[in-house]
Amino acid sequence: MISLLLAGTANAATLWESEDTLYNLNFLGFFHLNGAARFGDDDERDPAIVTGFQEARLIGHFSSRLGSRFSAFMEVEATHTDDDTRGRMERLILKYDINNASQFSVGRFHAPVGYWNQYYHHGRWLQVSKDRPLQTEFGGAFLPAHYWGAMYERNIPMGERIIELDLGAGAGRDEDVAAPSFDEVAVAKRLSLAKHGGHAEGTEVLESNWSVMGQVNVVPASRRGLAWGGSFWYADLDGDGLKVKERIVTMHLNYIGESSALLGEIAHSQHERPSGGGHTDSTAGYLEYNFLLDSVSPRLRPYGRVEMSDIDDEDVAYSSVNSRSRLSLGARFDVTPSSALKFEVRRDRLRDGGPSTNTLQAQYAVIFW
Amino acid sequence: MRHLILILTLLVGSSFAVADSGTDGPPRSMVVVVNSQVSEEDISEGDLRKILVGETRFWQDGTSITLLIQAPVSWERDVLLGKIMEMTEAQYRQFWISKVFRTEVASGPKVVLSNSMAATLIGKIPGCVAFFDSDEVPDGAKTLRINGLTPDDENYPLRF
Repeated sequence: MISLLLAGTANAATLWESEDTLYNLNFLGFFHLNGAARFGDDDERDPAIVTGFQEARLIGHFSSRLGSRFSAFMEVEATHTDDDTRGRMERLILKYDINNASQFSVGRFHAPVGYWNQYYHHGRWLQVSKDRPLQTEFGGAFLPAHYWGAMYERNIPMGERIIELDLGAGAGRDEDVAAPSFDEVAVAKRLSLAKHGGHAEGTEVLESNWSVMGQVNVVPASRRGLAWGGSFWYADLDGDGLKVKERIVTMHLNYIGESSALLGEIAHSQHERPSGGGHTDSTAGYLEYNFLLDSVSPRLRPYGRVEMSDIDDEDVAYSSVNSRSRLSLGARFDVTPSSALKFEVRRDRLRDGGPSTNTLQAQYAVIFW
Repeated sequence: MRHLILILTLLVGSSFAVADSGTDGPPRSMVVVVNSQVSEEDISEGDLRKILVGETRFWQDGTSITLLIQAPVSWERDVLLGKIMEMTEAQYRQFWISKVFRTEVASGPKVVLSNSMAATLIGKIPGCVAFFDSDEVPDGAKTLRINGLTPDDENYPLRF
């Protein structure tokens, strides 16, 4: 009996140790370096556009299985700009695999609102174009970027397609709206920009205490081909004597082919003042096309993107967001399998006769894997 | 000049030789090998693909699946990526990076540097699955039938 127990203990120990060797820490890192220069007519400066050195950012993504069904993820970010150097935690997730199709997680997440927010976010190397679209730009407030709470994820097979379903609930936006957030690259420039955009110069911080959200993405099982979906976000924003109900819906339609990709997304946001103050509606969207220029180089991928944000001037919750349109034409060249150079010609135009700005944008993006 | 032509001829010839090395000779069969504690005896091609792309992470009895894949420039990896997953090396890499980035999985497949390393891990890790040339299956290893067929059957699907 004793020998059996000992044998059992030895087996358990072997199993434990052999499993433990697999639950090692995995690291995934992203780094990018951004710069820009103005060119052409420059009658009036758009203060939101940073030229020269823009930023250097390092993203560290750590993950580990904690057991056969538990896993943990943490993402940290360090950014250096001309004005500041800072670090922050982006995501912290404890995940439980219920079964092959379902997962439940708690922690700080990327809000599953909008395709770009969920699929690329900090991963500049993952995306072809240099920057995020306006609706999800870094430090922007149009779409919520993060939240603390819980998320349920389920994949539902449907023939040759999979329905990816994310449902979340949490403590609202984990960044302030109607005021430049902590991680805004050009806080002072945005405040100045408010004068050009027609918003009130003063800003008021609105915080949200709760939120519910969901995203549906119908993708081919092969992950290549036509994919579509949408998302929603409901939250209450609360400030000093000011309450706003926030309702956001997004829709996306993508085609990811062998040698080309088309990404399109539109987001609509409604902010309602419950005390009879009416509501405001704002919209943002983008359409991006990129393709492999194999005839020149199998590592060269030109792209073009048109985008716009149309912000209601009366929207108190978007005081730091401006209406603008942007056209970008550029190319990504994969220098090595782990690094890419991107060059882009961009034209930004602020709405209502605001200044137009032409810039040449550049980025060096790296992945550590 | 003659030296240059000779070098170019050798280079072109050797590149063809490298390109053809994977397709020469009689067809080879890929075998799915699992840890002996795995209760499954048979798997469909579709379910196999789901394991390879991380959509199936647990066996039917709930044991978690540990996927082993040979390092690049091996026949097994070439077949898995090219024939079953229909991905290039770059697409495969981006696919798993995206999955980890989106926190769908904590890590990608474990890369094994040799078949002997894969054989050792298969014997020790419950739920482990790896892929071998049918001529190189480790002694005593448990293999799964594919769609009810073994490598000796005429219509075995993993013959390339």
